[in-house]
Amino acid sequence: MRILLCIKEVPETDAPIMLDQASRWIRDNNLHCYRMNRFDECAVEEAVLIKEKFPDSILDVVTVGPKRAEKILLRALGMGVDNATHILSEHTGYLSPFITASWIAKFASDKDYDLILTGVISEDNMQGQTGPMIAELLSMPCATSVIFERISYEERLIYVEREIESGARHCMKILLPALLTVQSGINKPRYPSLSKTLRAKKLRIPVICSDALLKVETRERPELIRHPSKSRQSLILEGTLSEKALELAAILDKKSLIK
Amino acid sequence: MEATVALIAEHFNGALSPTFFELITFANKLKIVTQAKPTIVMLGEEIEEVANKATHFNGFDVIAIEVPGLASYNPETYKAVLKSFLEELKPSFVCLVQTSTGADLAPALSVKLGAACISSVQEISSESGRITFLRSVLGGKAQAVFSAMTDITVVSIQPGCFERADTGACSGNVNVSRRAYRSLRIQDLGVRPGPGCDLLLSEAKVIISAGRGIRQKQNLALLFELAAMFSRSAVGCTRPLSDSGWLNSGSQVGLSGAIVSPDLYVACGISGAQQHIAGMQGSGFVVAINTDHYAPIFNHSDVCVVCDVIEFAPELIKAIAKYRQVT
Repeated sequence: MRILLCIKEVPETDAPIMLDQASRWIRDNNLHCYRMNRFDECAVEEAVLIKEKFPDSILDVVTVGPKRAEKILLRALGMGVDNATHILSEHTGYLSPFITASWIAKFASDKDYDLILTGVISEDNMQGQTGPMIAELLSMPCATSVIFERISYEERLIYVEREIESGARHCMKILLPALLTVQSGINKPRYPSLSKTLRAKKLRIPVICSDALLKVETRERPELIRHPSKSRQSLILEGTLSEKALELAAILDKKSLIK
Repeated sequence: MEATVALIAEHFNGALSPTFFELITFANKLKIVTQAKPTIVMLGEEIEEVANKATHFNGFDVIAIEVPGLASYNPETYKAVLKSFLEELKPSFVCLVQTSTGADLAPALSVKLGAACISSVQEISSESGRITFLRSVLGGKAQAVFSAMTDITVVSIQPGCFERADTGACSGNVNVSRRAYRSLRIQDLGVRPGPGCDLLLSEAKVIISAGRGIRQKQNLALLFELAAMFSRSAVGCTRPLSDSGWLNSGSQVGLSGAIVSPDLYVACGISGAQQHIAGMQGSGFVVAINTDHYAPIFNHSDVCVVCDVIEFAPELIKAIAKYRQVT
């Protein structure tokens, strides 16, 4: 089995973010802390689990991003991936999923992958487009939001369960090669091992310049970025912990919510 | 030639998807700014009956494509049949709902049609002829307004953002045609029901909901203690918590779990991603407790408490106890 993992770096969502009105996007700078998209971590874990079942498998990982994004490739190698490739793009601002998908599809087109895995959605752009677009560009069947998979390698088939509304599962059998986008909850991503991480740090990760790969025009662009509007009054309570608690209890009591 | 808008309608077991009506509302808004004529497009076997239902109350024409053997959603068949059909129809917009089906279809269709793809749209507007679409990014911490630069745009709308509004128009024409397609690479094995929403949660008047901010599983006990202060209460959670097995998946509030509307919703350590907000925005009164001043949940809350919920919950339990003693 030859498996490709497509991963993305995202800004740490727990920290405050800064918006950049010039690029009309999230400000791209090193003040933000960047890490691997959580859904992509699940995709990496799923691939490592597949390799445990099919030890002959070769796991490749690829990302599109600036120099800084090498960090998440090292993390994937530390988790048990065999080879990494960095598609270098110093593009700042919004990068269309179609462009990312086109670069990755071009990279993958001559490599005969049996399976391509990626996260169901990225935590920053939140569209879930890149995976299905790569599949389409490579004319591969695709299953999104996969919560369970089982491979029958002799039959060249993969059984998948897609998570659909209210947690129901849409079950399908797909002929390989195929692309799956992985939903969280499919597994618990492991921490990178120290020995693998140390070994990865000695490797020189091959870099491909995105511009040399393929020229692609964006098909949509952000016109504006802003902090979200409020849908409720958002009254902020002040004071010490117990003052806040008493005030809240008083508000709830006044609204007859304490019975 | 008159411009058209293709609305891809979902249906299951002979019934229209509940989100279909949100798509109609969106289409009416799009119609105002584009003047383009919306046409409902649906696929399936034995489709005529549900196709007739689709045109009620909105007056749009329906093009129903009967595909023998297509009992439910098969991604390969849908993509192939829609591609050949949409290439003939040449719509300026292809609109879907960002459901599990819409999210699966939209990006693939956009590649097939050479179209821009804008997902999870929450609002549409138009300024000097340019149509723009608003959507949340970064877990709801920001909102971005997008415009397309192509002749065709594939747009998927976020469920829960466009309320059903029947125009009362008479029914349009229903045209049923037939196309054969046999999926070669994907075999559909049907749908297995989910765990279902915990009964306590769907009937609760008060929901205390836990997010990653509670940090440790044992801290859940504190939230159960808080919930016990109210009658008809339940403890809910966000997706990461049910994923890690801290609570069962029937307790999950959000688009992939339960849609709830209790009298009181207390969000404890929840940042407020769009998919969670969509599950609780119908609540009567919302209180959010979070250390992050910028947590998006605060924009959707009546009362905001900026602090660590683990420190705050015992104080709140004490304070509520005082009120209960008085009454």
